[in-house]
Amino acid sequence: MAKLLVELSNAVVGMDEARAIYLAEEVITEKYNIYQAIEQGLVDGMDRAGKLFETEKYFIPELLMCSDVMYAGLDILKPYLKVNQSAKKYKVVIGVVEGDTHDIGKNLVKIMLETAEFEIYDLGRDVPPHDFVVKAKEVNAQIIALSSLMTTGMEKMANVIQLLQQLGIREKFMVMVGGGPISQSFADQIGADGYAKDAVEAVRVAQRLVGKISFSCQWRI
Amino acid sequence: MTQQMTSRERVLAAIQWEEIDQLPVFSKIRGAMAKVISRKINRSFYTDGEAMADAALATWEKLQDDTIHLGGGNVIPFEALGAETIWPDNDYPMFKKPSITSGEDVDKLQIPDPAQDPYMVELIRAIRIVRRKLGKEVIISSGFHGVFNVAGRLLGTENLMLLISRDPKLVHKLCRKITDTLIKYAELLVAEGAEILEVGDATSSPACISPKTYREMVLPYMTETFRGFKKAGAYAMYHPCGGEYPIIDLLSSTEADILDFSELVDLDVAQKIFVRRIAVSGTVNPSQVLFLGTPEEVDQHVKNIIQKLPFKTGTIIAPGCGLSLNIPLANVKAMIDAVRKYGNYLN
Repeated sequence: MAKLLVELSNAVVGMDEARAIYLAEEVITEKYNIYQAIEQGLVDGMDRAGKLFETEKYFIPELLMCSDVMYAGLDILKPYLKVNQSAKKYKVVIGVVEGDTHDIGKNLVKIMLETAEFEIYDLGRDVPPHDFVVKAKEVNAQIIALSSLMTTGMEKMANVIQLLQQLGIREKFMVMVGGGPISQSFADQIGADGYAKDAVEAVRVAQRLVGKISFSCQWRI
Repeated sequence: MTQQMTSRERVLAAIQWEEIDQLPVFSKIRGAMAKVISRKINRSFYTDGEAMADAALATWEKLQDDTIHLGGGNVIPFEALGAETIWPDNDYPMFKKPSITSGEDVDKLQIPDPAQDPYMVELIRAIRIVRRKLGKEVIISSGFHGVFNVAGRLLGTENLMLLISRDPKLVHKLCRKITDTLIKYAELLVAEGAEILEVGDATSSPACISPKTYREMVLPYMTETFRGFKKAGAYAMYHPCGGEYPIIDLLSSTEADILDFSELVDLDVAQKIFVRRIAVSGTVNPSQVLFLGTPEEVDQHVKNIIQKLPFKTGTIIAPGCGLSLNIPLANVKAMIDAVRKYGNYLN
């Protein structure tokens, strides 16, 4: 089993989808622990890929390829998983703000947050401020994550926070921002709770914001 | 230098690393020029050559920078290549879904005729009007998105990122057609009076792809694009938008005449690397300073950039990226005033 976990992790980092599928099927046929295969195999591989991205060994194409391999493995393993309903899962409403359709950064953040076991509600791109607020209220999200590559989008980020304030629900949600023109000082200026420079840091920021440093896997029994 | 130069002389001398009276400055004002004549950015503006010329001239009157830029509003040549655009009320067009989804789509893609592209027809009208009004006093620049930015718009950027490994042949085939298109468009613009052609390409920057992928899949097309521009008679200005240091050693191979950097590069370092080989430009922080700062902060930021420069030519001061529509014009003016103040080399 230990060897298989390493191999699963390696398949993700090595962008080898066929290998990941083969190994995931072996997990099922050999009746290995599925939770472990996900957590210490696939997710571990994606974490390693994230570290390589952070240190500029991997770039966006490589990170996306790794995530596709992870999802291919998850597609096989997940149907056999007994989900622990009682496990608390933190919810993030994410999207690219109105006026902007550059969504690759947002998609990377989504992948890395999913890997870190956040539950993601992806509103896509060109999302009006109101829609973030409505969705966050509807799903009782802990975090609203806003992305923009344009300075025009920066105003919309401020609008989301203003809208939360106007509705008297600012304290209910943590707001994090990111994207090309965004900085910590801009985040401070508009009263956002967090800023991350890239998708890997976004996970650390999100974890800090929900007040947990280490996460327990929602797939663990 | 004891004699004041014309704006045109200044830019051309700076590109050649010759002595200049003062540092040239480009505003990169782009579509924000429309608001100077109280117009919105939309399809009707970019298919109205007179309005574009009026806006460009009115903006230049206010700013007095060293080029008049007439560009394609982030739409040339996307629509001609089959991209479906959606124009918001007052912003650049959006690309809602990929127009190329297979290798067959790439095979079917025709190189468009720029003379038949309705946006180009009006852009050329605008260039002619400006040229008639100003003669050769100020250099006219224009430009496009680069090969990977265009490919990303046609395929969807995320899909392009995956196809780099999954179907590199398709990416190469598409890049080939985009490069041919850009050169054809460039030839027409140069024939009508554009003298500097800018190419911005964030999708091929180290913010997205590795230096290895850049070298294999982008550099050959970028080089060919700039050779085409230069053969047509224009100076090629390249903005490899985003975290450029990891590929800075490759940029001279593109054969661009001007390397235009984001705020992530230090202009003084760029000068030292490319001294007497390639002109350098850019680096004024477009978001933290030009968008969010005050005119006083802009003044100090530009002063700091200029005072660190080891060479008094070979350089154009400009924002580190094209400016968005909501840029405060007072800050753009403050940048230009600061360049005139701190980059004046007249004895």
